Amino acid sequence: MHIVKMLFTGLCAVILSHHPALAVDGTQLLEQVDRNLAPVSYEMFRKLINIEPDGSKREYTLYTVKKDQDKIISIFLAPASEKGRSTLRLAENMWLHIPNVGKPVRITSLQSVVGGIFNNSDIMGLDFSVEYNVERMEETDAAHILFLKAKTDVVAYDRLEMRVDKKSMVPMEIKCLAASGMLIKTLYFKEITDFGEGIVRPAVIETDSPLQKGYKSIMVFAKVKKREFPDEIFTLNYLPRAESLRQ
Amino acid sequence: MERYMGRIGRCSRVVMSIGIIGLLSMGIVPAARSFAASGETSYDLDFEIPEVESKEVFKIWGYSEFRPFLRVLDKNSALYKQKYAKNPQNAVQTNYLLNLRPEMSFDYGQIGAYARPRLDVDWSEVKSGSLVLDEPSEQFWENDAHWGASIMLEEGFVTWRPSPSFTAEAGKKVLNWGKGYAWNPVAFASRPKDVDDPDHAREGYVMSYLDYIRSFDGPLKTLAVTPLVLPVADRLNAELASGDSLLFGGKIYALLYDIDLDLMFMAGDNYDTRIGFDFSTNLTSNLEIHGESAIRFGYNKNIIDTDGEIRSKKFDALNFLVGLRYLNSLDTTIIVEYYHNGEGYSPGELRDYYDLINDGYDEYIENTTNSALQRNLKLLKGNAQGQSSGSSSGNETSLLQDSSQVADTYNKSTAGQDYLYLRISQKEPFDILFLTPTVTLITNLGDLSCSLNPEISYMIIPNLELKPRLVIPLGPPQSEFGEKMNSFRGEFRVTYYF
Repeated sequence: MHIVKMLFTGLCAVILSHHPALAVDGTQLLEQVDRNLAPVSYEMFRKLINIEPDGSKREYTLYTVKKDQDKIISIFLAPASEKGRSTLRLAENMWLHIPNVGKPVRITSLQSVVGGIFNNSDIMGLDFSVEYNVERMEETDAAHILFLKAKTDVVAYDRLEMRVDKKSMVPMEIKCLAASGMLIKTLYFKEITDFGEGIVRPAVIETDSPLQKGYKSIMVFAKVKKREFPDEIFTLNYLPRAESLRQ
Repeated sequence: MERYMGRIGRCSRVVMSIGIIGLLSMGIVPAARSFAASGETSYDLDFEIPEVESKEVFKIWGYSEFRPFLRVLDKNSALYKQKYAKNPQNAVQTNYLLNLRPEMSFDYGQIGAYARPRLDVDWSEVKSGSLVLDEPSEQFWENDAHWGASIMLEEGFVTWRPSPSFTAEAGKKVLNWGKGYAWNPVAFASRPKDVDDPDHAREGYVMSYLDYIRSFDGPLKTLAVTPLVLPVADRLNAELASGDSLLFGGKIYALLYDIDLDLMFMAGDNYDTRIGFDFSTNLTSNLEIHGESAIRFGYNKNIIDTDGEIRSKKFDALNFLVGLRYLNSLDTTIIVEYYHNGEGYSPGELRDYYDLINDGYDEYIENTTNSALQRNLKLLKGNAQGQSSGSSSGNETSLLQDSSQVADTYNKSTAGQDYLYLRISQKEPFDILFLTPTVTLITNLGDLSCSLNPEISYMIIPNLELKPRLVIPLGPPQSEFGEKMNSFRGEFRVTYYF
């Protein structure tokens, strides 16, 4: 009888873990995380800091505008060697424009326009719910753990393990995994900050990677503000003029 | 063949030297870093972002570049003989170039302006002759044996953008059409890239253009139309047409099913009408493919034979390029492009040209020797004046002079018909941040000669970049790269951004 009870409990657990209602809950939770991290249309400034094992740092300042779930432009404001560079992401399409050098060229999500551990998909991240499905969910006392699977092959990481803080409903930690299950990097979300207009989110994302031991990359957010943009600015033709968006 | 082997020998020594320097630098730096890494990583987070505070209406930034370079001349090459038959040079030549490119922008509401002047100061062991620059420009020390200087406007234009959908610009501008990395056969309104250094900033053309953009939901995400006009006159876009003209052109861009597509055309008086298209898309998260194709209608090609006779052939020239950019898991980026240059010369046509130069050079040496012998004979006979030498000099260099008439097209970069471009760059090897070694191989598939260009780019501190690089042409006699004037060229580029 005890064995039957155990089998029944196990069967229920398997069925429930694949129940559509739970999947929907996971998807809704992921969408909520996306909205808590940023409004639908906004602008922000970011500083990317690459820290080498000897402690030396390289810093980049970017102005970023985003609209909907899949349109994002970033413009480098500093250092002088990168000034004027801009990137555009439209869903899975990414381009880099380098002033004086040439036309915007297509880049891929695994490349990095700044070096260090952050790659292009980290710097020009779309909403998680655009790129990933929730495969399953676990819970601890303080967090939901979402196991995400990439919707297509062109997404940078095949799987994510996202630990979501139950209280603030924003990520605390994301493990980025390759299809083989190998850990590529871990993103740590820190310093939950009130940016105003109801935007409360981590102001710092820190990352390290077992593939680049001793190195660290940090992304600091500032002045995250709601702002509406027309679709036409998220185009290749507008990209060289994108810096004029700063007010 | 001896010359070819000699060139290979010299080049291998240079490549080995570079390799040793590279290995040393790559070995020493990581060693130093791993020592430092043994300590605790510590850092301070600075939440202030000073650039946020206000948008500046007027801004100035830019960069300055110091570029010493060394060339080793191949005295047996056809192009050396053509240029220096009468005036032999030392085999090793040094040059120094210092340039300053400040960039200025003005941005106020719907109105904007941008300018990028360029100031060059150079010292050359032997000046290669001054170019006629487009206006506005000024050249200095033109008659000095070694020094030269120029100031010019590479770009300078005003912008009016009444809405995000509509922009109008007028002035001198680099308009970049095409998707290729090394070549852009559809870039009708731009100066050609330097295939040895495709990323280097170029001078623009004077033009006016409009840009109208629309975005949509669905498979067609973006549609943009860009009509433009370019005037051509003496020292104003002079390279574009064979005489005064007003050129009309345009481009239609679409992002359709995640594929970038462009259609373009250009037409006008004293100009061969051109049409073209290009495409680009990402196949996976680390693989991009691109291509472009253009037709130049009624292209007039001048072909010279071994006797120095020039004939013209008129036809519609088809130029096209296909390529890919691939990034592997080790952060190695590979760019491969195949380029067919329909306006170029076949291996046989290039061979005839080099034969002509070699024959002309032999003829010149023979005539010079005979003239010297005749003068000596006359001196011996007591007629020291040598009156007849002037009349023979007209024929002495005739074949070389014939070859010089078509040197502009035969000697230019990418003079052949079929090329393969391979560029492999490794980002941050051995975890050395901001260091990127790159090797580029440009092969003329017609004669299998090539140019091997290794380089290392290192941003040693923020805003200071060091870039040692070599350009090593390799090939047998009578091949494009085998007959280049330089047996190799090395440079050490130091760029400071401000």
